[in-house]
Formats: sequence, C-alpha cells, structure tokens
Amino acid sequence: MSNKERYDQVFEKCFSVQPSVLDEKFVYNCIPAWDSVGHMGLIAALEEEFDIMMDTEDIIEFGSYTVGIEKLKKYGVDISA
Amino acid sequence: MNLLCPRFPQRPALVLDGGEVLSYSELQQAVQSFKVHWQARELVFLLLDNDLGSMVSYLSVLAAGAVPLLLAAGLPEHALRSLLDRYQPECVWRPASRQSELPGFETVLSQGGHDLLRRRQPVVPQPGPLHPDLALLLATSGSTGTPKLVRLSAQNLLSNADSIAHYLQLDEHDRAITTLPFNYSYGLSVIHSHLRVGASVVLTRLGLFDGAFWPLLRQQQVTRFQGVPFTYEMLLKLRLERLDMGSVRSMTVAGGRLAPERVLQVHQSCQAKGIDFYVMYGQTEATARMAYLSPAQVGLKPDSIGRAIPGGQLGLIDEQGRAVSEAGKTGELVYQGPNVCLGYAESRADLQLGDTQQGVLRTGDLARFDADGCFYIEGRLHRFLKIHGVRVSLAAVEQLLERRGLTAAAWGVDDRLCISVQAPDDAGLPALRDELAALLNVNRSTLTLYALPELPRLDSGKIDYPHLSAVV
Repeated sequence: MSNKERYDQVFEKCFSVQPSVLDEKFVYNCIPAWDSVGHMGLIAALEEEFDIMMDTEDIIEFGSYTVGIEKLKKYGVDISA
Repeated sequence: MNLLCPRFPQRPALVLDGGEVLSYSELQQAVQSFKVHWQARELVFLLLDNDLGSMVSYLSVLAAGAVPLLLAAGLPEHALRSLLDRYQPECVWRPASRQSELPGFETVLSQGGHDLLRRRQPVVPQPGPLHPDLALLLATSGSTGTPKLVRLSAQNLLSNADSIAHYLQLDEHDRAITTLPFNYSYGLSVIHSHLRVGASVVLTRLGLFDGAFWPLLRQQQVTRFQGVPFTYEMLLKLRLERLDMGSVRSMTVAGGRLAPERVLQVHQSCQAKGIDFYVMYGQTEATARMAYLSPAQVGLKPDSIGRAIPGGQLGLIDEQGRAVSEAGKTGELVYQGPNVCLGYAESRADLQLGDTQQGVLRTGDLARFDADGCFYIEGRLHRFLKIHGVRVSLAAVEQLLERRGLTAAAWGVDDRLCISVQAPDDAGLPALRDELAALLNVNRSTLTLYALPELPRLDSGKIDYPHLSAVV
C-alpha cells in the first residue's frame, strides 16, 4: 500500500468519510467528527500508522488534509509517493 | 446580585481575543445599560458562548434579579424545544445564527450577533412566582437533553466563588483564559471566582488545537489554566513538558477522574515549569467545587481528591446512613456546605420551591479516606459516565434508544460509552452511531456500538452488565 493510501485510510477510519471528500477543503471542524476529540484520535492514528512522534507545533498546525501532507514530510513520510 | 468586584474599577475585567480590554467600570456600565431588557423574577434561557455578548447578558440578567438557565450556544434544537415546553421561560437569548421560529415568541432585540426573543402573550395559566432565593439554573447533564435542572441561590454562587478564590489564592493580578463552556459549572466557576476578586478573564472560543490559542495565552499573560481530564490528555499529546505555558502559575483539573499516572506526568511537567497543579472534585449540585488536593500533595497522592474546600465538610455514610468514621472503609461521599444547591427542578412548578437540600449533598460517589483525612473516589452508586467532562446518564441513553424501538444496554468507562444493541447484525450501527453522537452532543469516536442477538440477563430479568463487557 502506498503512503497516500495509508494516509487516506487513517482519515476514512477516524472520521468515517468517503475518500472523495479528502481534499484541501477537508479542514479541522468541517465535520462534527473532526473536533478536538477527533483531532486527538487522528494524530494518534497517524503517529501509529507511520511510527512517528509529532511536535507540538505540527499537531496544532495540522489544520487540514492538505496541510497534513506537508507536515508529515518533516518526519520523512512522503505522501505524494 | 452583583458578582463584580467593586474594589478595582480601573483594572481589566475582560480581555477579548482581538486584544480589546474592558475595565471593571466599563463592564459594570455595559451590564447596567443591558439590564433594562430583563424584568425581575422572570425566567430567561441564555444560550451562551465564551464571548462578550454572553458575559454582559449573563451578568445583566443576574443584576436585574431575573433567573437564567444557562445553555450552550450550540444546544441541539430538539433539546431546546423540550426545555421550552417544560419550563416555559419568558425570554430566550440566543445567537442570531439560530434562526428557527420559536412558537409564541417574537424577536424584540437584535444586537451584537444575538437575538432576544420574548413571549408575545404571558403563559396561561400563569406559573407561580419563582422562589425568592432562586438565582440561577444549570442543567445536570449537558447532552442527553435530560431536563433535570439544579436550582442555585446567590449565596451558593458567591460562597463557592469565594472559597475557590481563597484556596487557589487568586488576586487582582491573576488572569484566566476560557477553555471550558460558559454554561458548564466548572467553566462558570472560573469566571465567578476571578471576577469576585478583581482578576481578569480572557474570553475566547479558541480551543487548544487552534493555532491562535497559544500566542493569545502567552501575549495576554494568562496566569491561571483549567481543564477537564480530556484537556490534560490533549496537553500531554502536545508534549506539555516542552510546551511554553507563558505566565501560567497554576493549573487545575476537575470534571472527572484523571488517571493517577497522568496526574503524575502533569505534576512533573508543572513542577519543572514552576506551576502549581491542583486536582479538584465537584458537582453541579455543589455549584461547582467540593474538594481539592493541594499541589504539595499531588505528587504523593495522585489518586486522591484531597480535602473539602474552605467552608465545606466531607464525610462518608454506610448503606444504613450511619457515618463512617474509620479510615480505609468505603461509604457514600456526603458533602455539607453553603454551596450545596437549593435542590433539583423537573418542571416550572418546581421553580417555586425553596431549599430542599438543607446544605447537604449525597454525591452518589463511593469513597474512602486515609489517616490524613484525604479522600479517594472508588466508584459510583449511580450509573453515569463523564464524557470529556459532560455527565451522561446511562439510563437516559437506554431510554433514548428505547424510544427508537431498540433494546439496548449502555455501559463503559469515562470518555468511552459502549452500547450493546439487541440486533441480528451490525448493519444499522454506523448510522445509529452518528445519530447518537449528534443527539448526545459528543464526538462519535467516544461511542462504541455492539450488536448482540440477545442481551445477557440475570435471573431477575435485569441486564447482566458485567457479562456485557466480558463478551466483547
């Protein structure tokens, strides 16, 4: 499975959404499931999936599906691959 | 009732997240001029958020001698309707974004993003007068739309605010920042205790995961921080040990149990930053606070709720109602103090009642105390969970499902509500989970649903709860 597929699957599983909604408009608080509780779950799931540990700033700034792709680059996870 | 400290008219009372500052005298003026919109002894529903409009509205209702029921700005419409039917308020004050028609009401004022709606005609038959001691109503449960309310007096509010300010050693140089809902007893107690001593409060709707929250906390030199256990889960996720907490000098946790290992983690991070960490205990029925563990003891007794707050008393009773005087024995935790509510309300008529509690609250929590007189919560007599600080009655969840024609059993631990539904398969569960999350106003990730062909029952026909958790 590619990193993109793994990344998408984490979102789909955390928020029970279809892959078609995952784009630059999928942002923090855009659906009820992505509130602070959902955000905790998302970050924990991504850290586990990619075996990384994110910094404070990156957890706070992880404000959208697209921004997240940029954030993960810092941890050596290339989503575009 | 006037909550505002009169001693420092020129000191800041409120700081808005845009940086605007209101002094005590400016806030007092705003409250006085808004007061004309309320009549003494009328019932007002306030749908509040952590913003200036909500603060002025709340304080002016109290100042006018009207009685507010505090609700969340985002309260689901069905829950608002059911409360309107039951309590028949004279006024509703709500965000202008809520545009739904409320039968019998007309908008009499639109200002600052809020609408004030008033009844066109008085309620018939006219309800009896609100009890003279009644000052404020809070909901026992934020989410299930459980219509049971807690009746509080001015003395309840003031005594609890003063007690909290005393043990936290708050003074006019302190500054809080809102991290909890305005209508939640814990969030409200932070506002009360600060405004009573001339300290200030930063009003913001930003949350811990909003990028702008942290610069605001640091730039505005916030000295006091508070949260429910989930807030601390978030802080630990944000690597509290490395997080710049700016000028914060104390942090408090209440609204549920934070696991002792987490308490220790937070305590250690706080110690390294020179911050005092308080573990506290309370209930809405006690206005907010009943006990606290002093920072010096948190490291030694991370599983304790400490001792009663100044002015209060904690004790235990056994099943026969006799006082438990032996350390280590379990009993029901009973609190006495001037902050114990007047009682409950389940109808408009109940708002005529006076003090039915007489300063004594049976908490429904099972506890023991140690040789030093520190208390430890061991469990609950009644079936409810706290989900991120919000009390959810398991019986109410089951009844809610029953009204949908489902046989189900609710169980679980704090922050995780499990529901076993009697169903042949789990086909309908994802949709039901989303629906329940909306109804209970909790994140769907806190709900776990299981389908069971038949719920396990005891010989008595009652649901076998221990067996339920064992089968999954």
